[in-house]
Amino acid sequence: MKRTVPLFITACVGFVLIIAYFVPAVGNVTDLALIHFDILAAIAFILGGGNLLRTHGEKIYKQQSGWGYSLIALGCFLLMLTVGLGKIGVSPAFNQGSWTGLMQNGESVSLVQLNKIAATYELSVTIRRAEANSKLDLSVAGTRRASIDIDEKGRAVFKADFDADEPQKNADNSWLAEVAHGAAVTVGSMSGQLAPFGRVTGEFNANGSWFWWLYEYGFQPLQQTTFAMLAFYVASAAFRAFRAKNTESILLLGTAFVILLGRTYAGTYLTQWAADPLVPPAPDDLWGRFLSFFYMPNLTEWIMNVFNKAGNRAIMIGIALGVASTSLKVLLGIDRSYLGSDKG
Amino acid sequence: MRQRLLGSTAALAFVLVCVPVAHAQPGGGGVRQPSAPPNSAARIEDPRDLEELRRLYLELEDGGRLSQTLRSVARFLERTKAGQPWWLETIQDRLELVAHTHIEAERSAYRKEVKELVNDVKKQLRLAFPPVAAVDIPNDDGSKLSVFWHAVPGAEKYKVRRRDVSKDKPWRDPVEVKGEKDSWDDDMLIRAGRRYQYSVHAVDADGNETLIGESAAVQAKGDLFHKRRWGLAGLVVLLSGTVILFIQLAKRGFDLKIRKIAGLEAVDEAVGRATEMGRPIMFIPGIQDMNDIQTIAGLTILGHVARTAAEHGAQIMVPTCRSLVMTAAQETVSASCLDVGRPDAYDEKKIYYTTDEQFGYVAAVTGAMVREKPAACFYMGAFYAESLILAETANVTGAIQIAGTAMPAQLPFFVAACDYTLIGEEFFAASAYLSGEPQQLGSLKGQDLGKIIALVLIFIGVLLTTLITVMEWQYSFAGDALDFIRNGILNTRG
Repeated sequence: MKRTVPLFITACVGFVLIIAYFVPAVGNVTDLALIHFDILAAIAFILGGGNLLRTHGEKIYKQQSGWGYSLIALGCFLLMLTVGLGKIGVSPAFNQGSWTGLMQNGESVSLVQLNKIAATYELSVTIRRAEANSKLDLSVAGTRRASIDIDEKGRAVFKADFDADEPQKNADNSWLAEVAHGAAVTVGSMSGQLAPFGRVTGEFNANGSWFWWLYEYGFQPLQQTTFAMLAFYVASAAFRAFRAKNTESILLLGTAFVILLGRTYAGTYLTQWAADPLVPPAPDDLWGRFLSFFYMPNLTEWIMNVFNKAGNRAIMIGIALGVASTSLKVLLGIDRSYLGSDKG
Repeated sequence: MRQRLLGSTAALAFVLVCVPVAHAQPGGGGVRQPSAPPNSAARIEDPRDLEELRRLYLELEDGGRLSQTLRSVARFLERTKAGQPWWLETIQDRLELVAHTHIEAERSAYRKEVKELVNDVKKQLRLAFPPVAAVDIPNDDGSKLSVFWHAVPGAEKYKVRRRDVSKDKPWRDPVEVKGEKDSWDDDMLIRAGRRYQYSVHAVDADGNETLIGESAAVQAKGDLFHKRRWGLAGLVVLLSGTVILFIQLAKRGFDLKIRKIAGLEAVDEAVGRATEMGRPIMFIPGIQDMNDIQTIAGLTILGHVARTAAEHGAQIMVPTCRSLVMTAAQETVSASCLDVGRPDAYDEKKIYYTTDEQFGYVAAVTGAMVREKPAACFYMGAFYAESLILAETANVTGAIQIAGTAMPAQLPFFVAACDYTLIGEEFFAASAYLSGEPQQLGSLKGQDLGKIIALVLIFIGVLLTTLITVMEWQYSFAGDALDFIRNGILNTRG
């Protein structure tokens, strides 16, 4: 059972996704599967985060060798978690609208919300409890805007919308575009103020937030530094690997030399006698076309487009077949090693 | 025998080269005049004919398989009585002249004429549409419809409205299509099986609306099979079939010879080295998540390495970049230790999660390498720029390194820096190779047959492309055949 259920799920989901590629009527199952995977991965992060806390926490607690690094790692983890989850320093998303919260006066309860999506404004007044079969006046910023009929149950919903891109449609509601945050709203005897939805609507990594600042000025420079060190690693690997020991290695060394030189200005400078990059040789200038072959950028491009591309494509064909075969074995349950032991 | 073969090949080559050259007319045959002027087109009303018309129109816009598309258009117009294909013979003549004329200026003139004539054909097809026509887009799940209308001179934009006829709903708010457009693809909340109707208004600069027309109701249909992908489906069935065939043959005792893969033969050596030196083994399963097949392949190899390490009593460390990979790796290593009767060899703390960030992970792993000084490092999975940093750092610590990845861009780095590298499909073959199970080895043989099929397709494609390039046969059978391989079988157009 422990292995049968996962195998069954793997086979079902896998074959459904393959079939969905050829059977459009099934719909966009691939995107749905990816969304489900993202949800699972997000939940699984709790395991990863817990493991991180435990590993480093234990090291700090037992003061094992290198516990200082663990303290920094854990401190940074908790700091980013706190500023991200807490949305510290995040501005409210003013462009999304505002509301009054619940307005009450005695037994009457109502709520006013102003939504803004692109250039469209939508005012929604919900009266949850009021005197049945009556009328209540709606005023915004001191101006009476509408009269709302309350039904026999003491409830009502009033909506007004306005599209700034089509001002001629619903022109009577054009005042919606001028309602400012903090505007006073009254519905009958209930009153309130339109306030933004709050920090909840802002993005945790919006520009200016603490999370953004720590990521841009703390983490990114470190990341780019590590990436920049690659140049030195390439040099040391090349120095070790490219040795003229036999014919193949001499060919490899020669090609690497041409490509490395061709990708720098030095290659262009040293071979500028061979061709003028601004004036290509005429089609009938055979000698000029022959010489231009030795212009380093041209030679580099030729090696990359002919030899390298051919080899790359051959590897990719092999990879594609390998992926297809491995996937088939996993789907058919022939290869089960990723699930763990066969025994027990 | 060999001489006879060479002779036949030479004769065939002579025929292939000389026959078309002999037919080439020096200086071209002169520009011929069209045989008849165009007729006005009858309007198409039948929904299936409209779908066919849309398909032909888009194929002409695409430009591929021109000869075949034009013949299809001619047959369609004749069948539906929507027009006389007076242009067919003319365009075919021009295409022949393009193929056989060697003077560049004349060839360009013929190509230009072909392009103009094809534009006339497209205009004729456009006229065959009703003033407003709605067509179901094929090869979808029934959530898209296409609307065509006759463009009105002076219109700045068009307002397209839709109505659900099945539910007898009113007209929805219009969608504006700005510019000189005459079609629009609607994918807004369309339900398969329902019938929809469209109306289109032209709007001029002053905002005045003029009704162009209303379409007939069209049903949004989901297709049971994607007609453009049948070639690819056939190829998938063929390749899968070969793999399954050899798996079945292997189960029945068919003898399979697999060549030695140096990187996999060295796994035992690397683990043994680590045991002797008393230093740990570090296994890195790549930086992608469990939804990547390379990660699964890497974890399969981890199972084998962990088994060997448990047998020898060596310690294994697995820093992971993803939480799901960490849990899968823990399960794999614990199962491997259990398999060899060494459950005490499993240390959960050695398989840990670091971070999802690429270079943060690299920094953590290289730090661990420098501190722990592993004797053997395995890099099995998907890697990006961090591959060389990992390999070089481990090299500095003196570890034996075995890498395997299916990322072509990282292979050169691993080849340069590591002792052994599993290149592409060797990496995927590792699971079968290490397990030694006949049915897994059978799948490798199936892959080889797949490679032969790929070789045959490559050979045919290269031959056709060479003929087309050298002999200018793009508008002949060779062009159609190449287009069929590209788009019909390999589905490069999607």
